Parts: sequence; C-alpha cells; structure tokens
Amino acid sequence: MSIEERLSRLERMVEELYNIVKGQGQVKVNVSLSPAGCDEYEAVPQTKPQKRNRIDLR
Amino acid sequence: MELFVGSPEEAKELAEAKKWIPRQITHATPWATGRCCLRCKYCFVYRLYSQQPSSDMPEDVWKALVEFMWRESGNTKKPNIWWFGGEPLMAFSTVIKPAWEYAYSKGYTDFDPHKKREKAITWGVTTNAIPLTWSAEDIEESDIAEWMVRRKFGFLLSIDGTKRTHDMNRVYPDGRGSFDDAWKGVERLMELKAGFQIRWSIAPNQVKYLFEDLEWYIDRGIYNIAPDPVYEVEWDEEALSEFRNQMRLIRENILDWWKEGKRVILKPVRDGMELAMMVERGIQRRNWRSRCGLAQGGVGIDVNGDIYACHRFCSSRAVKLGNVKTGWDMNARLRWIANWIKYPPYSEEGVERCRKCIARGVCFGGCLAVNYDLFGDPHVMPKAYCDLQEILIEVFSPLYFEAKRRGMQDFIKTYLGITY
Repeated sequence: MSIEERLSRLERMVEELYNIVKGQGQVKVNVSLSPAGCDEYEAVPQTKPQKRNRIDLR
Repeated sequence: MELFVGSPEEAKELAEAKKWIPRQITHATPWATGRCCLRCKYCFVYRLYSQQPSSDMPEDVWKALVEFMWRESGNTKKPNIWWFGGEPLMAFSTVIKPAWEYAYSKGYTDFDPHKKREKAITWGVTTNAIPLTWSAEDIEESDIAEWMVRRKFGFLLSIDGTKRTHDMNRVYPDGRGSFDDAWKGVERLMELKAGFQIRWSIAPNQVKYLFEDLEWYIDRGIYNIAPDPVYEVEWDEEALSEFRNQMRLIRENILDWWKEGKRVILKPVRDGMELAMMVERGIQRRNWRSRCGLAQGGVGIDVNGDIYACHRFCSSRAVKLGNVKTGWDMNARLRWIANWIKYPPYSEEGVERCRKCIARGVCFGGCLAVNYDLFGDPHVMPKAYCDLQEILIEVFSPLYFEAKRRGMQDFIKTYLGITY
C-alpha cells in the first residue's frame, strides 16, 4: 500500500474522530495501519473467485 | 483411527491440522426440524437451498445427540445444546421437550443446570418467537415459554426492529407480516422476566429505520440486541451510505445511553471497536486459524444426526464431519481444517483489497458458511462483508477513544468481555 493510500485511510478515521469530539479538546489517535500480516496473502490462489449464489430480496 | 493420507505433503498438512482439533467440544446447535412457519425473504436456508427436510429429528437421533454431547464435551462443566432449524419450536413436543426429559432422566441436566455444581447440559433456542405463546400437550405450564423459562433455556429471538421494518422481510408463506405474533412471544418472555437477546437482521431495504427502531426498543427497556447485516444480498453504494449514517447515529448516542444507566449492548459497536482494543493491547493480527465454523468448539447437527462444521452448514449439507450415532469422521474433520489453514481468508475483490483494508487486523473471515454458500470456498468473503466491516471500524474506532477520554471504564470493560 502506498503512503498516499495509507494517509487517505488515516484521514478518514481522523475525520470520524473529529465528528464526535467536535472541538472538545485533544484526543490521541492510536490506530495503526501497519502492513503486518500482509505476506500471508502470498499463499492465496491467483484465480478470481466466482459468485455462484446470492439472495434477491424481491 | 486410521487416516487415508495421499502424498507426504498431504500427510504434513493433516498433521498440522490435527493441532487445531480440540479434545472436546463445548456446544452443539442441532436442527430440531426442517419445518418453519415463516418464509423470510432473506432466509439463508430456504432461499439458497429450497429442498429442506419436512421432518422433525427422530427419537433415536435426539437420544444419540444428547449422548454425543455428554460424551464429546469431556470435562466441560456446562456444555450447551442450542436448538435451531427451521423453526425449532414447531418440534417442541416431538423433539425439544422429550430430549430435555431424556437428558434429565439420565442425570445430564437439571431445572437450573447453571447452578448445579456438577457437569450439566444447558439449553437454548433460536426462534422467531411466534410459538412461545403456544400451549402444548402434557405440560403443566401454561405455554411453551413458561416451560422453557422454568428450565433456564436461553433465547435468541429473530426479530427485525419494529412492525414496519420486521414485516418487510419476515413474512408468512402467504406474504403477511409476522411481527404482531412474534411480539407476543417477546412480551411473554418479559412477563416471565426471562433474559433474551434480539437477533436483528439488517437488510438494505430496511437499514434506514435501524436507529429509530433501536430507540423504540431502548424505550421498552430492551438493551441486548445483535443487529447484523445480511451478507447474502447486494449492498449498493446508497445502502452502504445509509448503513454508515445509521452507525454514526448510534455512535452519537450510545455513551449518553450508558450515562443514563441504559447499558445498551450492540454487536456492531463491539465489532467496530475491536481493532482499537486490539491495538491498545499490542495485538497486530487476530488469529484466524482458530474460530467458529471449524468444529473446534461447537458443531451443527441436522435432523438426521449428521454433524457439520456449524449449524449454518446444515442447510447446504456441505461439510459433513460425522454422525451423532457413529461418531466423528476424523478424515473429513482434519481435511476441513487443513484446507482452511492453508492461507488466510480474503475478499471477493482479491487480496489487493485485503492489503489496503483498515479492518485487516481484526478480520478472521466473516462467516465461513456464508462464504461457502456464495463462492463454494470458505476463504472468500463477499464484497458486502468487507464494505460493512470497514464502515464499522471507521465509525466505532474513535468511539473507543472517546469512551476512554470520558473515563467510561464500565462501558469499555463490558464491551471487551462480549463474544458472539
């Protein structure tokens, strides 16, 4: 993931935080967007999953 | 038991899988019957697999089920049998009542199994609540609800909010809404002072009413609610946006509810705060190899006594792991786990989405049965699941820090302790 993409995610989360505190003082954000665990995905098959079923509410 | 192993590589995989099989199980979720009085529009049983048994679990099977649970729960002090279906209470007189009486006659359970010092089977039911007010032959109590409450059954009630919302999807075969009948069951449990949880399905066609309906429940003193999205349907951008709005409304109010003494417990809030809790504890990645849907703690059992990886696999009959009469099929059990632990669960949209996902740290694959039903592979999560989980993390991670800032330790401690 690029720095820009990670910053964009962080930005969304900070915006959410701002929405709830609305200037009530400083709040420390301590949510990591670390890439830890991403190498696990190397083992995933390359074939694109095909949806074979779904429910139509109508 | 001798295992049928192919290549040396497979032998290695099965040996690894064996490490993930526990010595005992703690709970079983059997289908009392394949019959149901409703035809809900999002039902993962009838809408995906219309050919379901119209029979109830026969006597030889429910007896074998009780014996299986007693034996396979080992030294678990309070093993649990939680009835499912179909609508399980349609088989109250043919399955649920006689199975309890059989277990009682064998000394496996008691009227208050939770208080018994020795090992005792505990009981529960997932029900649409409609039959709770029905009377039954050969019981001294006035209705099914009273019989069950007297024996300390747990209740998970499938009800979607208020009448307006519920009746959109939870309907009788002739299309009539079922809320009025279901609500009588809720009122009866409240009258009997029984504990219960509302299992509320959120679908795109009614998500806009979620917060308003929640307030209606809270006004009635009902605080234990598990609203959970229906993942087998399509969630378009408009529905996702509405879901986010509804979650924000919950976030804006939940801490105030707690301040007022209304200890509202909501599954989406717990799910959404989990990443923040984990990060605070220094956990980077939730363990996805050990989880529900692998018969590691609980199993599903169909009306024939066939054992499945969880109750949701009973409708597809996809992952049969044995039978309560003959015991485990250890080959099938090992292969199911070996297949699962090969690689992590991933999005329908591919692993590139997973690499960027803000919910990745807490992701353990959603519901394996949903994944299997939709893609034929327990690893593949539908896009809807990924979209909705990211919204929960976005909306509720800040709530965790806000609760801390306000010093609401009781709120945080309670939510940390919840498991679903």
